[in-house]
Amino acid sequence: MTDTADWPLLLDVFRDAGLDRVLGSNRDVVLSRLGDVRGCHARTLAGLPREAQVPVPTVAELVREYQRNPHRVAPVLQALAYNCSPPMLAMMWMVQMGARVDAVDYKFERGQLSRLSVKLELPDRASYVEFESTEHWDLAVLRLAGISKGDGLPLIESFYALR
Amino acid sequence: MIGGTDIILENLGLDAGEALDLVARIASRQWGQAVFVDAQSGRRFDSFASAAFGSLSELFVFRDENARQAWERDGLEAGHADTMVYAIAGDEQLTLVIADPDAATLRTVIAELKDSLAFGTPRSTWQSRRSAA
Repeated sequence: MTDTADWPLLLDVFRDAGLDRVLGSNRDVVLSRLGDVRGCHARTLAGLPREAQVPVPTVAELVREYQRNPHRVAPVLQALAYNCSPPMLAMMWMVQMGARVDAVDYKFERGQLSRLSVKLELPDRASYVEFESTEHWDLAVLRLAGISKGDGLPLIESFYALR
Repeated sequence: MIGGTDIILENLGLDAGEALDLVARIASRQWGQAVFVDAQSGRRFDSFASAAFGSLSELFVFRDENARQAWERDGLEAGHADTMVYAIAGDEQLTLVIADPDAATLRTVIAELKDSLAFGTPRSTWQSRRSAA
């Protein structure tokens, strides 16, 4: 199946997640953005061991995962609605599917700079990948972050949809 | 027999599947080879990524496959009391049935879950849905 053929299923997901008004009206833009996410995903994980891999976020996979675990997909779709960039959407997807946030760096200078960098530990717990963006809208990623502490030390567990 | 101590955590922010996903994440940081099992159907998931938490309300997390087999074979025994978390997601609460809540690993899991549910997840209200109704 192609992304276009799966679009009606994705529309159902958007409706269920309350995002159809913002994401459902522009199929070509949304599918192009999701294609860019998939490309970033593939480039980032290329050459890494099988145990480090995360399922490829095709439209069909997003729909399938939403049916199994809507809470994992909804934050990624909300970030898409917030106009976050493909690298940060790919990063969020990997975290939702089992990667861990290892490091986050954010720098802001009013009128000059908004730079977000995220380093992930992949599911093999031995491989690391990094994402960086200067797209200011990507700051919305932090709005969706689950904050935690383990043994008193800082952690970011995963991402949660706003309700 | 499972047995153990019930630890009830308030959960005003997460749906059942979301809360169990969090249990799995936190426990698997302690147990790198953690095994996840739907506590109602007995279905064992191959991995965190392939687990379907969305429709679950009860979850077993075992330290590893040996622990899962030991619990299945023997039930609660002192030798493996600290190798399993049984989580039940109910209405605005998450109940953990822990056989050895004083074990260091399990104390960490309980504390992290409690803090995450209280402070770590986005929410727009601190009111109970029940009291708001």
